[in-house]
Amino acid sequence: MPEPRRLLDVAIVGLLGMMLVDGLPDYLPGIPTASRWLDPVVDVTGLEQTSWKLFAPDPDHINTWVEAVVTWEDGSTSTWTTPSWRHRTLLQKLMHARWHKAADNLRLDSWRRLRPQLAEYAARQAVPPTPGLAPVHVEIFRHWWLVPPPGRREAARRRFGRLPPLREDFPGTKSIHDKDLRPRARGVQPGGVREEPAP
Amino acid sequence: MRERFVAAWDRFWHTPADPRVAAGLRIGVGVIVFLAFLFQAPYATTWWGEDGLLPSRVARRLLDPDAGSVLLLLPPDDLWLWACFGLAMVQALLLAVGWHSHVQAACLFVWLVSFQHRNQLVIDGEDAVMRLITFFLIFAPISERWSLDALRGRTPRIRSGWALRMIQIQVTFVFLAAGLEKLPGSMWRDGTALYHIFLLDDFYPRFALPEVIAGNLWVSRLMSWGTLALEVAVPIGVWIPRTRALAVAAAIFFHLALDLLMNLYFFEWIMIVGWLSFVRWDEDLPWLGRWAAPAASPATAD
Repeated sequence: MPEPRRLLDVAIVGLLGMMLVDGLPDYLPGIPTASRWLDPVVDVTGLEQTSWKLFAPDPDHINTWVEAVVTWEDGSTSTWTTPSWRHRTLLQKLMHARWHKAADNLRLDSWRRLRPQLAEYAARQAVPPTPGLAPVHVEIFRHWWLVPPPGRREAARRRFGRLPPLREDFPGTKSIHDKDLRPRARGVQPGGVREEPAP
Repeated sequence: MRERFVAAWDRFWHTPADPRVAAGLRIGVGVIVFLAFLFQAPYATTWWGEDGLLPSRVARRLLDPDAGSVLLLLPPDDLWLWACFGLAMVQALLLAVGWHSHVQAACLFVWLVSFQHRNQLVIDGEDAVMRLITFFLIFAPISERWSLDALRGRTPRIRSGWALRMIQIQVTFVFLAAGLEKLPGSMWRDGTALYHIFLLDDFYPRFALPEVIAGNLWVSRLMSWGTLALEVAVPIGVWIPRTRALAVAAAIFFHLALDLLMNLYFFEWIMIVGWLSFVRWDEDLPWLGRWAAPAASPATAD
């Protein structure tokens, strides 16, 4: 029967092994395989590390925000957006902190399975122009601006007037999800465009 | 040879920890976790509620099935969410004041795991550091000083300092792993990483950086290479007795500078609390050490 301290030593070695395998960079030999094997253990125990890629291997050099355009049953539209990072008080900064990660993930295709849920959430959050209207359609857009390399910084500053530019000025826009929430009223198109009746 | 190894191993892992250090960590973690929950309260239903971004039926479908959560075992009702949320906040406060400290640390660990596993969309580095340090606090002598437990004379005797060592190693590991992850990055090597980071609006500083800093490539190079050097040097220096205090001071200065310059929520603060596990009260803070009764044989980096 091993003495209790030696059992504790075995636990220490196990904890150190979990830390190293789960937390070291994937480019080190053997780490991806070992970490796949260990994954269920660290998840079940709640002792998983996280990716310690803090701005690594290179910082993302993209600014993004996500916008949802909600179409209501009468064809009118409202927008819901992820919070703006500028002009926030310290309190807002702390309260919105998790939106940093959420907005960053929601724009990524690796989280695309969550977009239908995001559409429903945006429809609940958006304020209809007339109270009581039901949402019929949501389209989600990703907007982005790529940080220019240092040699093109001055040109970018002249173009936008400030760096980083205001998010409304971001040049990149792409529709990343389009969802009907319920059958639209006759003639109402996504984005609130009313179809002209046929002559 | 074997005897020498066993003796060195025992000295490193099982020398009793300084209860003042453990108590400082208990208070720091309790306060930070409480504040982290408090500031999440306005968006709690967005992140964990049934009308939020990830209702439980979707979470069960999308998330890792191995990553269990108490929240997913309860009925899908926001009343349960608020009950758990409130209980977690209360237990964080009770940990800070040291009332049944070890029970609170264990429960808080379960809450942190549960909330983090329930919505992995919004989880970041600080959450992992809070969770892992809280786990090790369960086994550290956290109740012997500055606690209601100590006032009541109800503190378990913990003879081994292994848990405090694990906190030291965990904090060091975060720093080292972050440095190793950056090494293959071309922007860190050519020194333009900070130039790019200064132009990210979600991490944008609390105040507009003057052009002489944000637009100056040499400033970016100095800060990028300095970050790399620090992330590799501190995890080594902190284990060498002669450089320990300097390494801890450098790490704390680094985190304070980042907190000033960037929007990083509580990451810097929970890391600073973690680095305090290396402080030797009687050497580094003699005036405070005299105020708080000294401890026998504190376990630190030597």
